[in-house]
Amino acid sequence: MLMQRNSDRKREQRKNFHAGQKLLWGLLALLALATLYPVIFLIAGSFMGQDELGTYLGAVIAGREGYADFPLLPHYPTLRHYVEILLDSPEFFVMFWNSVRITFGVLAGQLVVGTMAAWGFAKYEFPWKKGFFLIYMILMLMPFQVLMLSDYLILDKLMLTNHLWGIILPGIFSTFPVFIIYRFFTEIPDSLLESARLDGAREWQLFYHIGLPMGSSGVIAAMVLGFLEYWSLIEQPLTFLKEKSLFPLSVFLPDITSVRQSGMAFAASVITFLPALLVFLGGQDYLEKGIMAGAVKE
Amino acid sequence: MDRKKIFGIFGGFLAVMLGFTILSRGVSGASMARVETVKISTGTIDHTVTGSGKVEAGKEMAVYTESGQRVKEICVREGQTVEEGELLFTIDMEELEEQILAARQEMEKARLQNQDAQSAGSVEQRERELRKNRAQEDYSQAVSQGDADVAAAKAALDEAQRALEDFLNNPVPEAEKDNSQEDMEDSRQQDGSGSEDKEDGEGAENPGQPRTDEEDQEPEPEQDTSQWESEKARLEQAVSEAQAAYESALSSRAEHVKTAARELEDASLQKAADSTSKQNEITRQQQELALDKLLALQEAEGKITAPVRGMITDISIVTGDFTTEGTAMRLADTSQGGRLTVSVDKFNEEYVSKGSPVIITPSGSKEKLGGYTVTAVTENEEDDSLLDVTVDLPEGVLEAGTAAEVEITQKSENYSTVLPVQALREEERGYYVLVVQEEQGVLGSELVVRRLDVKVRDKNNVKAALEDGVLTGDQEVVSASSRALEEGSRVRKKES
Repeated sequence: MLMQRNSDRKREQRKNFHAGQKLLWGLLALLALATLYPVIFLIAGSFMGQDELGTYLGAVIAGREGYADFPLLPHYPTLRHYVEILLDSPEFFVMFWNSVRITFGVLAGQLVVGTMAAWGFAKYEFPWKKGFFLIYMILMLMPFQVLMLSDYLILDKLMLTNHLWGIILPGIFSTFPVFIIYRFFTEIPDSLLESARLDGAREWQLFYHIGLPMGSSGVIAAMVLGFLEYWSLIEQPLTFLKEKSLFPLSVFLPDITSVRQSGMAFAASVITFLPALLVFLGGQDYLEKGIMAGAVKE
Repeated sequence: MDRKKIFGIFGGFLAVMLGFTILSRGVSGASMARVETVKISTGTIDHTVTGSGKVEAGKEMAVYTESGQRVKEICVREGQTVEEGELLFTIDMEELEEQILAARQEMEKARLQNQDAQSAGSVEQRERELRKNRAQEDYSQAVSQGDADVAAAKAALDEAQRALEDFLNNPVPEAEKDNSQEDMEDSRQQDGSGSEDKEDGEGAENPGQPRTDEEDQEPEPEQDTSQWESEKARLEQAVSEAQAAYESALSSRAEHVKTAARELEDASLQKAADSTSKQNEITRQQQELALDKLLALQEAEGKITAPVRGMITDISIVTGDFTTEGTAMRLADTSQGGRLTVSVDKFNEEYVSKGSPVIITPSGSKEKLGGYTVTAVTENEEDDSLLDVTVDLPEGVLEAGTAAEVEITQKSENYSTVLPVQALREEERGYYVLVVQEEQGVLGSELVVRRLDVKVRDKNNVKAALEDGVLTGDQEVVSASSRALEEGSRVRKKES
């Protein structure tokens, strides 16, 4: 998001480049660099050898005197850590595929359940509609910690703890995508639906053939936001999962941030970062729309 | 960027990740150590010590003969095995016979000498007797002679005294008498010899002294007085001479008696102990013994034979030379069985002791001989890192010189936690074992090795007994691994 905002500003500055704005531009560029620095760190660190990392990070990790120092480019680049992650750590892939399963399971469920719920709220009138929608909003606003215990008790009753479904099912019925998609569905004119009905279209045809294509940008925006959220899920797995073999990638990273394995941690972070980056790049435009939809009140 | 392209890339990324997933599983599986495991068992830790050595003859015997014999022929050589009674060497008979003759002559000579000495001794004895008798006689004679002389001197003295007294008591002028008496008294007092007679006389004459003092004042006729005086002086002279003679007779007697007593003493002295004849007797016996040996040798026709069955280990004599006092030959006695001596490392010391059972395998034979025990354990004289273990063998078991392997086994108590020694790992701090445990890891249920420190109670090169309590019967202990293991290593069990 930061990157995107920065690029937007750059574009704008290129269009109307006044001398007075030069200073501001420089300041912002500096801030942008400061914001981006961790990413540069990450990528450079993943190509550094163990010794080099020890030299630069020793002050922080090994408890040596002084401050951590970090150059922009590795002096002796190596792919060692990638080889270690990709070839010598089957655990990494177990966790990677756990993350993929959780993320795509949730997204697939949301695609079915969330869109339908949003369609219902947007296009049908039923008693207590406003009340239900309010409950949806309240649930959306509640942080995970508030619901953690009650979630756990329910999942335990359903015998879903220590199971991936214990993460996926609550995710599927998350209210946030409903809220986003609802905004897009309400923009579909009712007259269009009416004429379709007159032409003999059934209700599911209206949803499938008119609602989903016209609200696709909202659905995609919800999916992109959902991907970024569930890809980096950390509290739910730690709370509901006991078996290490079910842990997602987001939990693998803290596991290896030790003195010896800092290089491996960098490489693992870069690989973890890649799908999120790809999804972001692919859904960038919809993301903006989705955020706008969530923010702008009609 | 084109959205489809991005989704294509995403799909490609997932495909690559899938590929690496499979690859990393393969790599991990290939690099995972394959282990073989064992479980603890009960058993004993037998300490087997092996060593090899040679059988030696049980004891060595010396073969010797009389010294000074010329060796005529040696019939054996070193290393040769001989039977009991087998001819070893012969000596020259002529030389022997000469020696026998010489010995006999020597004996005869000694006998004659002895005889002479005996007769000389008896003559001397008689002489001594005679001398003693004579001395006795001399003594008696000296005593009687002395007594007689003394008696004679005494008589002469008495005579002289009586004459003097008579003269003095005669009725002669008073003055003469007084003077003479006074003079006589003076001379007696001057004489000073404590004779009894004189004292008596003095005592008798004392009461008359005051009278003399009175009469001294009266005047006397000159001529009578001088005649009387000279007579008195003569008599007094005679008394003192007799006195001197008597005294010299006394001292002469004492001297003669003393001399004669000494003579007698000398003659009566015991003759000094004389063992010559006894010595001669001993010498004679020795010569007889030597002669007997020579005669025995002669009877055996100068042939020296083996006293027992055995092996010649050393020959000290040379053909044509004379035999010496030393050993002519040394013979290893094989009739009493052999002695097997093997060297083992000293660190086995505690497992080898007197009485430990041994199993002997002669080289070149597959047969194992059991039932023997260690006779002695001593330190090797040349190398102090070795121990010499000796096993005595009865007759006929193994020939002397046979090489053999020896296995000494010492059984331990029964231990309840016994592992093959390969399962035991050692480091500086002590021993440990690696136990395979099933653990839930990221990859699911995995076999992981965990380290357990153990204490070893006893071990040999096959098995080790551990202190109880650390390992249970269900635990699987890594006994062999395809690669180095450390705490937490994931392993696969080798399919047996």
